[in-house]
Amino acid sequence: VFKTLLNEKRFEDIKTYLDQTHGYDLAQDFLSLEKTEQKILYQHINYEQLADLVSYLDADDAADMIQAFDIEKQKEVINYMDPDDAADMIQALEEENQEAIILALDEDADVLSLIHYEDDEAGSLMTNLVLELTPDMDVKQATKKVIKQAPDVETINQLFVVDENQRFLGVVSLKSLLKAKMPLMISDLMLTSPFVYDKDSITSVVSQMNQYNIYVMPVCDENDKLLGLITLDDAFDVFEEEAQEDFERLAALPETIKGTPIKIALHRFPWLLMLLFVSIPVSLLTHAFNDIIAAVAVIVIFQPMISGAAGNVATQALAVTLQSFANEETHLFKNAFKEIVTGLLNAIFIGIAAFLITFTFSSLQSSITVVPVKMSLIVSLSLILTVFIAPMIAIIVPSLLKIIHIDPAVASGPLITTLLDMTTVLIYFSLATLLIGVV
Amino acid sequence: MRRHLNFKHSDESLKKTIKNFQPYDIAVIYESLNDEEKNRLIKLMTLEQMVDVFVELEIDDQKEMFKILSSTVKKSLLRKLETDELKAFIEMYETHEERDLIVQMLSKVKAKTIQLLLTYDEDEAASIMMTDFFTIDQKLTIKEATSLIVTKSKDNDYIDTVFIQNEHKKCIGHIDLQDLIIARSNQKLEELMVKDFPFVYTDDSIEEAIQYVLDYDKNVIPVLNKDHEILGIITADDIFDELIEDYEDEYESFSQISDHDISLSSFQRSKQRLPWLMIGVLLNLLTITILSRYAATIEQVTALILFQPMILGMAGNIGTQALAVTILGIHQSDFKEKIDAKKHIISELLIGLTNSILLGIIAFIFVQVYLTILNMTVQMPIDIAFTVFISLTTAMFISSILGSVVPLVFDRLNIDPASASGPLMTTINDIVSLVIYFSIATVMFL
Repeated sequence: VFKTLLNEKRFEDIKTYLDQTHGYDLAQDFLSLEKTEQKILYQHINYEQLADLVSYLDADDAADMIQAFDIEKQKEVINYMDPDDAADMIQALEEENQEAIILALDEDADVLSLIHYEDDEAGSLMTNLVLELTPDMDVKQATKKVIKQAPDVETINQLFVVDENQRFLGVVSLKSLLKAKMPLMISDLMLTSPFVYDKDSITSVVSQMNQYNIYVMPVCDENDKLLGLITLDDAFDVFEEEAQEDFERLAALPETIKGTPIKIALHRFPWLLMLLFVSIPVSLLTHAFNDIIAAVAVIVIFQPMISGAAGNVATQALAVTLQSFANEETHLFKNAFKEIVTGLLNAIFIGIAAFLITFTFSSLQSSITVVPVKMSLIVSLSLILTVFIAPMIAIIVPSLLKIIHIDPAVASGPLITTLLDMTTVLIYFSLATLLIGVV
Repeated sequence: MRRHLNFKHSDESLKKTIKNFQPYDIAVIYESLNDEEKNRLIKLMTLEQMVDVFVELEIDDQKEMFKILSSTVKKSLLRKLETDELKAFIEMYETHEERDLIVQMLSKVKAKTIQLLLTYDEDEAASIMMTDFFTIDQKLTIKEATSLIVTKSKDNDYIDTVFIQNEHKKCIGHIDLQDLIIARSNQKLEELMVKDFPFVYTDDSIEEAIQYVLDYDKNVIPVLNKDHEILGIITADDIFDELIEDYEDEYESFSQISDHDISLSSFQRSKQRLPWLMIGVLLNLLTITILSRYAATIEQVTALILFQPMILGMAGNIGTQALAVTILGIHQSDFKEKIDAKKHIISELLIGLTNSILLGIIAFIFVQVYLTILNMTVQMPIDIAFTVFISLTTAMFISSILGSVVPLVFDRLNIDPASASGPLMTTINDIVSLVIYFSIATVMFL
């Protein structure tokens, strides 16, 4: 719709549309525009609307867009943006543009104090547009201050109380302030509230916001001085990003990027290459069993069943282990024990199934083996042993990685696959050598 | 912030200590206590505190705590709970008798509300709404509206955003309390309210509600019936819980650990997972049947066996990558339009092709070098290397196509796309890869 408005140059309608449309929708519209259409848009959109639109773009897209403007216009837009969004965008700018805009901004611009935080620190998510009350204010004074400052702060649903040294004391909800009557004081209405430090990891901040069911989280410096707040919508973004990352790691997938297929392919290539290399030991180990393979090569047709079952069991145990790491659960040993017993139980059941499958199959096709019972025994015993070992590997590997401070989610999958393939080869071919022997 | 309570202290001092604790922290402490300490802690809390702690407790602990309360306290507790919390609590009781016992303790209005809420399916947006919202008439002035909110709203009511009705009870907009406070008192409500706002109908899915709250950065969205009357609201903190659950479900279904919980015993875990594993093993019957047809080739060219795990593994790996990207995309409703799904498949196809060829070439070099060093085979190493190259490339390419197409098809058929990672997919991958590998080998060597 917006596209046609622009192309038909219906300026009045463009204006109303910009007025009434949510920033998220404007941002979506913007992404579908051609360069010439964007130019028309820039002529009609005001700074405030532009700031709203930019806030809903990716930091990279936002940076691309804003770099096209002259420095004065950049400055105006940034002044209308929430400081945390502006900080993200500025960090995504090319270096020279970054320096230029930082120089151009007023020295006391809110965004400047946020830029120096690392990506994973609570401070990087924070906005410093906070309304502060003091405990010695009465209800009337406080209400007056709220009404006066309301347009300039991120939220007034929750009001923050600080002492004369700016130290954070607690919160007052707007509802309780509005309902309170004189001569009540802010100190009477104040409730304690959880808060976080600006250098805390954003992951812990997000999970605390969920645990305490709060919409805004106060952020303090190391002296408990109130610096700003983090809103729930920012916490959502962080949570989604991290949940995606967990999922991607389970699939040995690097962080999702945008770009041409070739670029994405090369981005995923190193992982696959690594996975290819880790399969070398499996080949070497198989080679060690050259004699039995030369004698009864056909036994390899049962190999995928064994390594497949072990792989499935290991994936389950790994997912459970990584989840309990992520949730910082405490009963790790108990959990590991349970997983191993689970593995054993499952091993016995599918071992029996595998025996029946192999037996039926090799009885029907006598070309496979002349000793169907022995063959079935080898397959099912190997399967039981491998499936029993699988959860142990899937627990030990991530635990060891964690101890040596490598992210267990990243490296566990491929390592476990290789170890399992090797275990399969070792157990299966050893048992075969033992029971059938070399002819 | 882990906190502790020392039960050797006097009631008075304990009371003082917990006064400064957050409800969530008290709930965590409560769950670790013995019966006697639990009883004592309950007596020490104020009613407000108890309500806040109650909603933070795990299901079983809620039931247990409710049991030991006196009937007057029970009633006050129920009265103070928000409707969505109350509904969730009642839903945990399985029999009608148990549920009725609790509903009888409610006021008439609340009992009716709860009975209505209980009729919604658990994946419908209305099932997580609460009815403690505040509506005002569109004709009001700013001043009237503000004073109405201040005087008439109940303790439980969500008033950070209030909803605006016309004379037919139709919800036509909303306004944040913050904007009411900023506005000048002579302005009209109709001029200031937000008219274009996201909402869900009662039978819309919870996913839709989640998406609106995330996309539009809302703290609350209304639930409307078909006549656009407001029936309830869904708040962002509840959406957060749903979002977390959603991702956990996806993660678990991808790794086939349905509904895992740390407290499950080994037997329960085994029972949950065995069906998937069993299917995986049974499906191997197919793989074995097909493989056995190539018995002659395998016996002739045993060197092929060395690279079988590599080909199976690599096809599986690239398939998993494509699968994960696609499932994430579906999860974030990226492919609502057919054209987007098409674009995604084409892009994944090109990505798959590029990497399949690159890795095929590397595998070719590796096999050639490896066999020359080992000097084990009667065949020319270069022939085997060539077989591996063709097979690996083709198998990986096909697997990456499957990985990006199958979840999309599943989604269209209303099957959970994350379950595409299951044994069926693995088996298809195995069969395709092995058939390609041994067919090419048969052509090359026999």
